[in-house]
Amino acid sequence: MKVEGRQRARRRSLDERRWLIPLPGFILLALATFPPFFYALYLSFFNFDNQSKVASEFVWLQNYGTILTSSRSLHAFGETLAISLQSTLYSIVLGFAVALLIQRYAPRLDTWLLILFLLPMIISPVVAALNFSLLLNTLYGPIDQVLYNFTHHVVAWTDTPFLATEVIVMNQVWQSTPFAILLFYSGLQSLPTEVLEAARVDGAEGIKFLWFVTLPLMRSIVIVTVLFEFLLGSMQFTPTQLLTSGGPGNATESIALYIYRVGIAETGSVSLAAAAGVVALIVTVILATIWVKTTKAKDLYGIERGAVWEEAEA
Amino acid sequence: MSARRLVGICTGRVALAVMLLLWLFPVYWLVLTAFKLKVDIQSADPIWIVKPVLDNFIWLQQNFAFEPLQHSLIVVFSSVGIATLLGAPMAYALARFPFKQRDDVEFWVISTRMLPPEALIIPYYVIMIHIHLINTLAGLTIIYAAINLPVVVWILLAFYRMMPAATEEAARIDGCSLWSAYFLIVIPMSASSIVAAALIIWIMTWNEFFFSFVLTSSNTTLPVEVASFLANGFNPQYGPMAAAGLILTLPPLLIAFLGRKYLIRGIQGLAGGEAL
Repeated sequence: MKVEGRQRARRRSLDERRWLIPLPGFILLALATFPPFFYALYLSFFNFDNQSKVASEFVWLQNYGTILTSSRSLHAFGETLAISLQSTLYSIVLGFAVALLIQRYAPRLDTWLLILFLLPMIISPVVAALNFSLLLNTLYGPIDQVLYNFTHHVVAWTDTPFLATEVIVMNQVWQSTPFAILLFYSGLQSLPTEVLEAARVDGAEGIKFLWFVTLPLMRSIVIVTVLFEFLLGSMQFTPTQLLTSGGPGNATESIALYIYRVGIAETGSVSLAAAAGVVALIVTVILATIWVKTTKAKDLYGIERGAVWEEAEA
Repeated sequence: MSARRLVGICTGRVALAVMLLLWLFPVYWLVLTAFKLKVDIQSADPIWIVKPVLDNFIWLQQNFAFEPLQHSLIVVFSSVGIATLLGAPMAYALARFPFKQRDDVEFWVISTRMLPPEALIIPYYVIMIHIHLINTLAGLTIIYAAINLPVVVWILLAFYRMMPAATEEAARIDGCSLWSAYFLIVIPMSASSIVAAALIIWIMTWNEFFFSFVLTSSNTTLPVEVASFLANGFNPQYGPMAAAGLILTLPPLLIAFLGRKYLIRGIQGLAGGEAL
């Protein structure tokens, strides 16, 4: 009895100290997020002294004023938006098509097909950029060589703002569509079969079936995927740095590249870049909040079944 | 099976195959370039098939600094180890210990996973200068460990939520403390999810470019070193560049094929969370 009592006491004291084991992780995460964020916020209200690497002069909202008025930073935000929106749209459409094709026509090979379609995602963004620079090389790239055989024209992919943006988008789509494929595929797998059968019995077919039955059932997962793809697109840095170096001119300078250049590469305005970072962070936090709330919703894989019945019947 | 249905299935499969080929063509072209002679790379007509030669790899062996590879291995293994060790108990605590602000803490942990790197790079850069960790492997390791933590938590949290608590309760009745129940019972049960999480962050860290590019210069990692080929003037060494890119791609590729089931589950957890 006595031994048991001692054991229980020991156990209780261990239980009371239960936070000791997860605590280091929480501390590391807190240290890596809060101080940098508040430091960035602090820097953004000051001028930065590049010699001593400290904030020097309080300038109120001047940096934010510059961010919201200078044509270069506004262009960077606009370009980021353009890249993210386009790559989101293409990834979603392409991802859904591939997921649907796998589920319809090759369900037995799904693990292998998924992993093959997934490859661009597990490849380093550096290698992806390198891939596209090989493919799109004006002299030796296969795409231009084939095009030349037909049109006797060579396309300089990174020389006009429009094409350069599309090259970045293409790179982004190649790397981020796998997420969409995987999420949509798991979404399709977990659709309630009774509802699908019922819709079929009611005569829904083809495109109509997709639009009125499958998509409404996958509403939450589509939202999650769209937001996720958008966030991925808005964070990209590597293709703009390596493929176009922001060019021609500053045409493909995304917000990440802008921050890096203004704050670090051009030995300049650390506090201006910090302010741009804060703005980017606020936008992202809003989107991420929606994303977290949607993924936390219990019915990620569909609205309530009763509602679907009504919609299918209507 | 009607003829119409058969035609439908064939069209679908052909469409899928064509898409897959186009999708993987850039990878094929990379491999092809890596094994081509320089004259073949610079030929005026595209060469689609080639007898592989190792010239580019030999060039790399002679001219390429391999310290970045070492740095990459050190940084990746240590940060993945730290993140997994610290992250798994965090996920367990969030899943099982009831406390008042649990939802808020969980929201904070998970939302840090979506923090844009460009928003943090400036403070990280300045802070690293001040604490003398700029251009060090230690500094990079800490940052990678921190950005990997929420990924581990997110993937494992979903798993622990779904796992019935009955097994641990039985162990507790038999005299285990909370954490010995965790280490003896829960970790073996969740081993495959932990592996999935570790593989995902291993690949993500191995591939990472942005932080390494900004925060290190002479002590840099492999992706940055490979990227320097592209920055090298107007006529980069395409053959060696492709070969180096291939070397950089091999580890994730091996992980993808050997651990494909883990990986697929991990990525689903990465973006979808609990319901997946």
